[in-house]
Amino acid sequence: MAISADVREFVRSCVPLTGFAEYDLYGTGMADLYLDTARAQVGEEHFAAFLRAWIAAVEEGEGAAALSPTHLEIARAVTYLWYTGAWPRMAPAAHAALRREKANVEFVAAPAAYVEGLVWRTFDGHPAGAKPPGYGTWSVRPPRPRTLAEPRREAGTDAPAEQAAEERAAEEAAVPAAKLPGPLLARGTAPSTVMTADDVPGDEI
Amino acid sequence: MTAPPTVPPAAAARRHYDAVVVGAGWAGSLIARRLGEKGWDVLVLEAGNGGTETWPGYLDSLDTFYSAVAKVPNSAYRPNRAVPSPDVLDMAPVRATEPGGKEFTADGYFVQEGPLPYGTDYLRALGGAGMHWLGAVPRMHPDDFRVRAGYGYGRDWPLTAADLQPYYARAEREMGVAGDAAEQRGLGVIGDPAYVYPMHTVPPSYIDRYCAERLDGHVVTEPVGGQAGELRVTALPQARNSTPDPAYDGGRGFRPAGAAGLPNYGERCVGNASCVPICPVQAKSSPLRVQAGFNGNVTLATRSVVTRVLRGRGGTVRGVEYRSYGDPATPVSEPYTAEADIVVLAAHAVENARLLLFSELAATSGQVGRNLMDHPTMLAWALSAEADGPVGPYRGPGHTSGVEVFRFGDARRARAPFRIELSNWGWSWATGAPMSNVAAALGVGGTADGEVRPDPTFGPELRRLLGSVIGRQLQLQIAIEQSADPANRVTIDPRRHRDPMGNPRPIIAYDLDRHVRDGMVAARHVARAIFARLGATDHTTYRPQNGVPPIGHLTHTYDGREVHLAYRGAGHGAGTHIMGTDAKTSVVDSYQRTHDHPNLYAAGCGSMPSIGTSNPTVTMAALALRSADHIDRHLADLHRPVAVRVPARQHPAARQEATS
Amino acid sequence: MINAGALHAQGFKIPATVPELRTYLQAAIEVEHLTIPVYMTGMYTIRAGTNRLAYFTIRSVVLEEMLHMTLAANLLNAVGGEPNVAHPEFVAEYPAKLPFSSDTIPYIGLRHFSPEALETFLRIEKPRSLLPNPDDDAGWTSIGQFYDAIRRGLVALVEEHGPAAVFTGDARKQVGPEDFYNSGGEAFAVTGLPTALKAIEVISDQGEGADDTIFTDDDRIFGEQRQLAHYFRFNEIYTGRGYGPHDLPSTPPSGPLLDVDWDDAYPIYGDSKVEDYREYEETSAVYREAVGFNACYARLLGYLHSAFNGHPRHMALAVPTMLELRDRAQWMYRNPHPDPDLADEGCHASPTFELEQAHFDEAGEIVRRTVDAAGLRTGEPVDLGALAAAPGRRFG
Repeated sequence: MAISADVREFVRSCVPLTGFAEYDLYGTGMADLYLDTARAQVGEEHFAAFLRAWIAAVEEGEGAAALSPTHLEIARAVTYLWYTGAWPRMAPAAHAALRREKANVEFVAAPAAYVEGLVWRTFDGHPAGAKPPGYGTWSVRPPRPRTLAEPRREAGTDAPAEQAAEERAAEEAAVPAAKLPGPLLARGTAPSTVMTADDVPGDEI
Repeated sequence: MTAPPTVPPAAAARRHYDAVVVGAGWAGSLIARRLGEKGWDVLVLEAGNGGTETWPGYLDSLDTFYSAVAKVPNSAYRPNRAVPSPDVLDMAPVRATEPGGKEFTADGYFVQEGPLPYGTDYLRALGGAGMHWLGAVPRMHPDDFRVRAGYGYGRDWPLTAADLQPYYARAEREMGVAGDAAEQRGLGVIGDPAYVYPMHTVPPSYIDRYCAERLDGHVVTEPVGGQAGELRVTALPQARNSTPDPAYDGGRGFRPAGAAGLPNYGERCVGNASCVPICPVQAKSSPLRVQAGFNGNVTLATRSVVTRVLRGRGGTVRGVEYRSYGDPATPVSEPYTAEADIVVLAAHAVENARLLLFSELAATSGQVGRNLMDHPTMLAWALSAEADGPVGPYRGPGHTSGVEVFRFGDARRARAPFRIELSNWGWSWATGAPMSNVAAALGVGGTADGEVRPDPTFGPELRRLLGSVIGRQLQLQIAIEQSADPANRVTIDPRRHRDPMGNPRPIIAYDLDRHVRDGMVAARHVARAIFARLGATDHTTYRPQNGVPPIGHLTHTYDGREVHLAYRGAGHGAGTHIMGTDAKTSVVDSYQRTHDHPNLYAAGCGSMPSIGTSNPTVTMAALALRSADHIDRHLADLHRPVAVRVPARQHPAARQEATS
Repeated sequence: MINAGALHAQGFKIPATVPELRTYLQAAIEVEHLTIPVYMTGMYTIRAGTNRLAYFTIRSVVLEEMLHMTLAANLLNAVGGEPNVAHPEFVAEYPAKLPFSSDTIPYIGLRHFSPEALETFLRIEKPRSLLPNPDDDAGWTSIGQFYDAIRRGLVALVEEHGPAAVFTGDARKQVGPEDFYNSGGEAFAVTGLPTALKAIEVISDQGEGADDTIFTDDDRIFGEQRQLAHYFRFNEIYTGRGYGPHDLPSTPPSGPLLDVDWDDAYPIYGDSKVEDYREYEETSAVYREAVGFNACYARLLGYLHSAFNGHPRHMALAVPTMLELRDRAQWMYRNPHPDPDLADEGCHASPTFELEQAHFDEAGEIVRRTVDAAGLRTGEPVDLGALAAAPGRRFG
């Protein structure tokens, strides 16, 4: 069966969200499932409205800044799905605004979805428990990390030269604690509910 | 490899066996296979479900793991209502209601009385916890067997390390161990100067090498015991298929055994990096391999829950009562009995204690259920320096090397010793990474008040950020020795706490003594020094978040200051039917035979008087093989024509002798 | 193919000299390899998590074909030859003619998991006992017959000249079980006539079954559990039914129904070529990735070539490269075909397995650098710690 126009549009729209090229997104084999999952989770109409808003925001060069808080949270949830194969717990405010009839809990969309999470590819890894790279490969020095320019080129979202130079400087700066996970309080804490490191007091032994 | 023959529970009953073994994990499987090889008629009763011995069943476990949001050790194995397993998911931290009060709740199989959580799980399924273990098999050090005599804490073994050396070697053959024998000899844990492991050491990870280059030879002084330890990154012996060593066994070499249920699979580790909870190719050794080697003398029945051991004449036992169930979701069961000359409990330290208590057996010493131990494990996590490039986490077995120096030496007197594992799996245990990294970088899930966060990261920026902050994750897992303390114990209260099938649930009382807590403080200092030496940014914290402490949180006063610490369970439950020479102070003798009942054995980590800083499975396996030899002699004695103590029955071997 | 085509064209003949025998054994390596892209295509076009029985069945056969390649290389090394697997002509152009078989057999193409693909697989593995005319006078009729010719030639040469004159190869070139694993039975060194005959027996019996049964000899030779021969393993998938223990080669399987769903696969146009993809270079990454796949395949052959020519430990570099191909293949099969018309028909992109000298030149350089840096030595632990990965590439 041919890939539907809806799926093609969905995949195209997810390139600027994920930073991965269409080839990589199709390469997961999960596009249909993720579109279905997103529609089922936030409702067909909400999702169609989100997609329209996102496509317009990208075309106008504004990106996520142009999204409403609820649409921003949907954008995050869809990206989380591509990166991990799981639908996350959404911000309760967005959950309420969408009047979701689903429990607001993280779940894995399908066993094969976990395996195709893109997060592993951000550091040239492979999912734990699948796509094994072969005996002894864990001894090999990992490849140097990608610069921002490389995924930009692949995704076709090149930045202007002066902006790129600024970003290079920013890349080398320390990572803000707000972008890092804090400790799991309990082993059962779902990854999307782990507090960020900036919400956790530091250690001082 | 072919699957072991299993029989329906009903078919196993109403017969007389030479031996009944309760539990088809490592200890039970090793003992059963050995006795079967010696010609004895053996029944193995496994309470949990089977299925993983077939390839479709094993793939179902793999899917179960893929589907789990929290990929904890039991996440690959379907829940079983009839035979519940304790799970690390059962515990949740809570704000203490009063200063010094209990900081957690538990709603699983264990009834946890505290004051601290017993964070160790196990698996009641075919293969037991040997399905979800990591496969780490370091031998115990000679000093670990005599901590009371040597360092004034805990309890001593009635055995020495030298007594166990040949059994360690046999266990390493049975399990299929890869390691560097010369290095282990250097640590003092291998005595035989000519010994080599069956397989070459599992290759060290890039992280191991990265750390070794920066740490080896560096001296760190921990402030509690005052030990100045020279750091050295040392390879971990592992029950994992690597390249066979042609020099093994006097030049006869070794052929790695592969997967149960699928031919020509799993003969090498291929780096799935999910040993816990499941090795997708079965390059990690498991009891399924031992079961695949059962001969026709061994009968294996799953979904057969031993409820109690039956008393016989005099001080003996005559068999077991067990219940079988068809559907793990509905605990409807049928009772049966199986009689045997010898009963071996090999159901896990906690389960063995529970069975002995409910059967009211081996009670003389009052030690059944007491001296419960684990390796409280501290996690410390950091990001390596950006300039060093990525370190390659989430590759290879969970850990392939460690730092051993703080396991040994006189400082043990002052504080518990500890072994430092270098994690190959990033911050996964500590923080739920790398998935939680995605959530944090995206800002999904909202603020603490539930509002949508304003600061999104998407697209190429997201990809680059994650590549950097995941690719540099370092984590240390520091396993601290916990010694035998009779106050840490398993009890039962059948009137108040039963599982759905009606069996008593284990009630756990658990705490960490000052010796362990001092060890934790020392470990925290060493972790900090290691990260500093690596030029890494330490992100470790054990403090409460918005008033809620992390699981395993405790405070400890050291050097006049209150410090926050936290530990996780290691899955190394031990000490509940402790071994000794004196029937008044111990439950079993050095052959794991109960002092009270000459034909009842309790095998497993429950027999260990101390566990040092070594993952206990290989020591348990060595003990099991030693006990198997003893039980073989014991059975032979019982079957001598004179002085028959148990109702006589013709044994196949004996019959053969009579006709030849 | 370097030798197989010419030998086929020359008609049935038993090798009469050691140089001729070497030519035959090189052809044997080529024939074993010929099947690998075909089976890989069938296996990796299966949708993830579906058709598991079929997936693991095809996988087991692919692994055994790799074992056969290795054993054929051991045979060739044992008689003083030099296996050549890193050569543009080593890889057949698909659809390919199956050598040493009847000329009436259709060409072997790259096909997604489908009844048609399984028909191809069955054709490749068909046992002599199921062929209408197994007589040598009829010319080449089966691969089994080809191996029988090698066996007869080898035995005659040893009888005539003595083993020392035939087995002149360097024993250190033999690839053994330390370096090759997870395959039917295990790789073993060929050091003389008995091990040579055993190698030929393993290759023949795993394909077509031992002694006119549906089973291989692995249980007898390696102490493995009893397994069906390739033809019968494939026939189970094709018919959707398992064999019973008493079934015969000539009877259809009589065992339980098996779960096979032909719709759970990515349909491809298997005759696609890189040149076809190039047309859509602007609109689809498939062209770039197809080139990348072939480059990776050339590296695989480069490591194998090194492993077969004096460095058995270099298998440790070939296996991870094979697994890199697995990932690359799966990504590609999930992508739409770059030709919009084919995509509209539901067609997906597929690796082409086209190898040219330029691929080997480029791969040769990387392979040389990698094997030098790795410093792997026979008998020592495998440790790849001296290597570095490149973005999107396992080594170098």
